Amino acid sequence: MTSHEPFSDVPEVERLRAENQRLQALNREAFDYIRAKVNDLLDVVGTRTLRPEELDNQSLVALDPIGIVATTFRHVLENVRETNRQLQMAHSEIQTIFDTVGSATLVVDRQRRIVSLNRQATKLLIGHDGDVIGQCCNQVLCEADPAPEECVFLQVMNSGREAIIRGRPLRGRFFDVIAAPICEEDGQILHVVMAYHDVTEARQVEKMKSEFVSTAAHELRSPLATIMGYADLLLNGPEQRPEQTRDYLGLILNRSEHLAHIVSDLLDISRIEAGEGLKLTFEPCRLDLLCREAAWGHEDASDRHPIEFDLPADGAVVEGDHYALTQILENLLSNAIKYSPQGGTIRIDVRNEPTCCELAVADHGMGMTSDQIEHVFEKFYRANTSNTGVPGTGLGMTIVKYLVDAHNGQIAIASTPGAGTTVRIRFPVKQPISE
Amino acid sequence: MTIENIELDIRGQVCPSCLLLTLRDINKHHSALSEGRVRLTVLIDSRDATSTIPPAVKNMGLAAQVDKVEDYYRVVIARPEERP
Repeated sequence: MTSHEPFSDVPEVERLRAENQRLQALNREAFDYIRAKVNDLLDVVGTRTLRPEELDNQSLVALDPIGIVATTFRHVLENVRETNRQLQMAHSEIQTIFDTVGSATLVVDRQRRIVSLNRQATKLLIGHDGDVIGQCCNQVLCEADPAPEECVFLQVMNSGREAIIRGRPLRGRFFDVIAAPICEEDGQILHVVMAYHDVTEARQVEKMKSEFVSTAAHELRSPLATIMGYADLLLNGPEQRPEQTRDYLGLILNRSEHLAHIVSDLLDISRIEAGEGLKLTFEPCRLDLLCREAAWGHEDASDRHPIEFDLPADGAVVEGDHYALTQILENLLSNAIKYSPQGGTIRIDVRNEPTCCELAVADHGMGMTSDQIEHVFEKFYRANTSNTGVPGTGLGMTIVKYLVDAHNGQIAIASTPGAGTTVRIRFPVKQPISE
Repeated sequence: MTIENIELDIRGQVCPSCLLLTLRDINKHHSALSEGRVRLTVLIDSRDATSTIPPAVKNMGLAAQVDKVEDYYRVVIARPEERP
């Protein structure tokens, strides 16, 4: 018998050996695969390759590196998600601040291309909802290429520092523009932030204030000139007849009262502006009688302006302050007379409605445009400033509006230029308490 | 609140085993570490691991501080607010 490995000639043993070798090869491939994948993962985590001499195949399986790395990645992803969530919140917070600040704000890059802009900028500077991102700010905002001294962007790019331009006109409004650079770590300008503060209203107020000073000076000086003139005449002039003297003194008194009225208006408006308000005492007042009293005060003018009444026969009672109601009527009547041509009829209507008492003062004067009506309650506003012949401080209607509001009333103005104006005021009436 | 200190002494191990063993312990105590209830102190003597552990820890939202102590390193791992 020839010497050879036991059972080597048994076909079944040969088959099993081959099978065993195939399985061992598969096993090696599996370990190589695991080791390669672990190395891939470790590479991402940031370490060097796992060498077989550091961790043999059995230890590799026992250590469960795939499990470790997989769990680690889960925590890394959780951390990334949390960081993203916080970033999104911060972004949304910044966007909200960006959109709610009063100024129109633009961010542009070094080539003037718009990178971002807030809602105010879209509304005030652009004027439409179209996409302007990527467009050059000078093409979108400026009608012509501005000179360097008028361009806040160029000033920042040239100086590398914050720059301000005041009163820049744009789309019919005025802006104070503040611009500042956003720099990279090396100091190079990356973006320029430009904040446009709308100063149109502040400018208008300044203009109105200066107009008011000149108007008030004129208003105060005219009666003063009359008073001084007649006082001088009485003191230094030839002796006058007693009735003449009385007339002059009457004029002096009348003009003094006018001055007192202007000063009183100024004090009222300053109290209203200071938030102190006016002290009002509410009691039942006969509005119909107050209308007639107010008209008596304008008897001199009534020759030139007939005043017609339509008052309820059984009277009209309003819960209000007697002085304030008189002031409202005085101001409305005075405006109706001032802005009416000679002979123009003025009409005062009072009607009792179920829940209110309505007062209407109508004239056939020069009237107002809807734009003028919109501003009529603003202090110092005068509808026809060009018409210097009409005296006034521009405070009357502001005070009327305040007093009507203080009575929980409503005021409305209807007017047609050249045809006349009607001011309607509704005072609420107390409902009788049902038993 | 007292912070529990857990120590993992893997001196003698080389990287990347150091990193894997450290990650395994971080995973085991991850929520306690994130909430600041636990601080993990790992003792290693593989210099390579001192540069691989801190970035991996940071990616997981934690912070690590490495100190050289005689002939080994002490890596203290905690949530960033604890400033390990």
